[in-house]
Amino acid sequence: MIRLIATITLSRALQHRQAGSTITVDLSKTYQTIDGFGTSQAFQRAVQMSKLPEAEQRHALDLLFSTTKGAGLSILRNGIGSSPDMSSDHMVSIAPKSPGSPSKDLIFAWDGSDNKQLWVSQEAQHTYGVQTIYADAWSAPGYMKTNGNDANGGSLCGVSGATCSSGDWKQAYANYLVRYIQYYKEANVTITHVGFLNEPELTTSYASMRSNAQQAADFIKVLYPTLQKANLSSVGINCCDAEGWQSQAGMLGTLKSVDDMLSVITAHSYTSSPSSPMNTKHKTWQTEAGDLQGAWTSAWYKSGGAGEGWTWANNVYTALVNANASAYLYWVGVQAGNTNSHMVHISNGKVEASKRLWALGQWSLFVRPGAVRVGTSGSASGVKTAAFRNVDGSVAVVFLNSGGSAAKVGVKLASGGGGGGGGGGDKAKAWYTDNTHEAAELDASVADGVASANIPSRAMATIVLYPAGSASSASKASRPV
Amino acid sequence: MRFPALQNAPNALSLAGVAAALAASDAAAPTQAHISLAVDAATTYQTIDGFGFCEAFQRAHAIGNLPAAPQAAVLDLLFNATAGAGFSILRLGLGSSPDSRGDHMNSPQPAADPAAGFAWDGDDSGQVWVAQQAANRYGVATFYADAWSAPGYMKTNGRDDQGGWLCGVRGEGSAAGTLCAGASWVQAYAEYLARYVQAYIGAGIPVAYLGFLNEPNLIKPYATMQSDGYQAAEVAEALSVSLGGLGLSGVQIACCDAQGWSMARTLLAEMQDAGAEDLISVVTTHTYKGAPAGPDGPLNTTARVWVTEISPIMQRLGMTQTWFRNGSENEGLTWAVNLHEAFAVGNASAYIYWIGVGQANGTAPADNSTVPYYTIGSTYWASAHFSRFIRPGAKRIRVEVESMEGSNPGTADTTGTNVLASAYANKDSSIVVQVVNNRDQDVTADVPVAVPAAQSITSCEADTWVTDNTKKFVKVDAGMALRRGMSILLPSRSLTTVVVKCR
Repeated sequence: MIRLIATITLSRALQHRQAGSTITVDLSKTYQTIDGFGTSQAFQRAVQMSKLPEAEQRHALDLLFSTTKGAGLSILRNGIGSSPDMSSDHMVSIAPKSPGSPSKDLIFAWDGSDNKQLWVSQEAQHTYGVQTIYADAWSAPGYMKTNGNDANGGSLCGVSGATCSSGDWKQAYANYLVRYIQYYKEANVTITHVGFLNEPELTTSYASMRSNAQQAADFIKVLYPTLQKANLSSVGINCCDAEGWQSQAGMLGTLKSVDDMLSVITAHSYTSSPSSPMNTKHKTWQTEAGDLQGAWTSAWYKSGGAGEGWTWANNVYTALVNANASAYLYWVGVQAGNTNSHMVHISNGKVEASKRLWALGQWSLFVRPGAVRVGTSGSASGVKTAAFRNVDGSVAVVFLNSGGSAAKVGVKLASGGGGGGGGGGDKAKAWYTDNTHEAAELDASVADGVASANIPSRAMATIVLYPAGSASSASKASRPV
Repeated sequence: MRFPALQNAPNALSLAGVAAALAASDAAAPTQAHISLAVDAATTYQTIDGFGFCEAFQRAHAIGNLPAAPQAAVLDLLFNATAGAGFSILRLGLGSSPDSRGDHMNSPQPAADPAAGFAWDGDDSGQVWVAQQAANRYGVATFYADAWSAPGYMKTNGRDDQGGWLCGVRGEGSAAGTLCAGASWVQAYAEYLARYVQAYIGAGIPVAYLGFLNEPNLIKPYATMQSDGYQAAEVAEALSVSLGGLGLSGVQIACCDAQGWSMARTLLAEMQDAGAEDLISVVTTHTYKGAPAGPDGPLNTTARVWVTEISPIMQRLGMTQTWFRNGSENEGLTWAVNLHEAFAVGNASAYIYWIGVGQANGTAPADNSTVPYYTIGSTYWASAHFSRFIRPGAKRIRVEVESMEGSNPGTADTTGTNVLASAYANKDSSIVVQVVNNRDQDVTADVPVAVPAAQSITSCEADTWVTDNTKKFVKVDAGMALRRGMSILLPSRSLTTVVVKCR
């Protein structure tokens, strides 16, 4: 008798171990809304894509934006060119020649290409359904600046502390940005956000313009009404793409004066990465990060190096969970070159994706625009977890297993939460990325309202719950190998 | 060979031209060629020992005799690693002549008389002074002492010029018609050279490399001694013993200062056949003559290879300040190509010019003369581009020139050899890229610099220097941040050096 009881006890314990750790998702506990994940083809990287053979062009676009054949990225960041021409990798401006005075009309020279970004944008929006297009100027054209050059710093003429003999160019710069948005609109591409600075605390020998928070506020006070008057109030003003999360946070105090005119606070990860939330009511996006000097690696995990996919999957996690970021962008999507500045490599007329692309993809494919990060309780040893409720009602639960062995995890919705936990008819599917898989299907079973899966070591996996009665359908029905 | 004196070019090393260069870049036509120079610091090749020159055959007096101000300026041009070329190697000619007539290098032991002994004069044809300046004021640490010949009494022809062999080497010395009288002077020559090195060390010059031949195929009216590789092997053997005997086994033996690459190949093969390869630490060669004269590929050895002498003397054009006109051997751009080939094709570890500073024909100007004291030849600028930034101990690393145009961006540049790139990683982790644009067209280059995964980088900056027909060694981009990748302009017919520092 005793032995039998012991057996029962053991098997229950065994069952518990086999069931692994259970994560409970609490849909009533909500955090930030997610706008998506993305990248850029600025500085003529789009031109490089356009020179590929046609089949490879499609392959490259698929890798970036397709939800069935690629990473399903949902945000594109374009560079609004400020240069006189396309020499080197400069982005030519839509108004490269000075009209002589800010009171004269700008001399527009729209080439219908915008450094080939228009083509990428059209594909993103119309072929792949990308809805967030962020047009960001690294600088105003040189003739609007104190130094007469679109590179090497200098400030916009007319902001506090920046006077030019030619006059105040704030309104002209605002008109210029509006016209850029209109050209895109005329070409059937909807720009949803506009920025007028990039790393404004840094003077560089490529397109760069200096601005402190006060100067940014000065310009926003002009740009905002200009957008309104042009019927472009739907276009959000982003600021200020600082070099690091902390340096951007430092600008927020002074930007309070234009708080209601701002849309999204944007920052990069170079000098400090997103590790804590910014003190703002606005959404915050991490708009540029990358392992710029690391030698090209396409690996997911070898040693935890700066260029490996696993590292970036975790970087995104920290930004979303610790810093409440609403979006995460890797610097460049597709280009040639032997560093990790980009996610997809052009070589000999062919493209090759690194696992950095799939790191973003494992996020982007299942945490779709409009998703809300929600609360979780419970944990599995060595496994980081986060959960998101998509607009269609599906719940994506993300796992990153940094342990040396596979982890069995289970996830359920808290009873009483929208979508109903524990009820029958709930479905779940799972996908994962690791050294040998790219958003590949992972076995997930549902029993007693708990969806379970075995997360391999150093893998990122997403279990998507489709609660009965929700409008969701699998956003990823199947994936070709 | 003699060269005209150096001339002071006031703006040579200034920042003048920065604004002009930037403006030129902005105004450049969009149709210029576009390439990528993909630098891969994780793939390494040979170690670089340095760059230098020689002041043998009494050329050292040209520097020694200058008044203080131009003398200091010339020494700075040669050795100052911040404001000048930062040369780090000095080749010394070990004298073999009975006296100092003409430009002969007198020997410390000019006669066979044992009573005379080794009479070190502390001057060695003016070279001791130059070497002391280099070592004491500039920290130059690499001195290569090389004998053109043994003194005449050790040779089959009884004189230090007009060729002839060292008595006692294989096949030479015991035959009738030589002046060796059956005696072998191989060990004596080795002792003599070891003593010579010891004397230099005693004068505060840490000679660490020793050669005992120069262009051993030649018979000339200056110090020349003939040798093949087998004979050289015998001398190297003896030298190794003599050096050890004086406690100088740290001095490395170099051989054989061949006149050209193909001759170096032959001498090397013969020494290997004789089993003497491990006696030689550095394989030395010039690149004047041969089939080929210059490198067409690495030499077949694991020892370091140095180009120990070369200058544009074959076409007899003299020194010029022209950077590029028609590709003549004395033009600076030609020199940049030579440097590229030595390191990227020949896997050389050092490049040593023939004479650094020589006296022009005629007398030095009087004090109130308006004639400048020195002129700088265009080969100097090419040498300085390499030498100032590629420091001793650097390793050559991989760089690929790729086309960014047409329907196949990212393919290897098949348009020919007219953009030549080599790259180096210094011990301080800075990366140096040397690019020769030998086209008549400006070229823009993306320069992605990939560092090994183990290095954790937060940011990188790059500085760029350019020499072409319009500017000499001008810094055109200072502290360029590599945030979004670097793109540089390579003017037509230019040498561009990019120095990347990451932290």
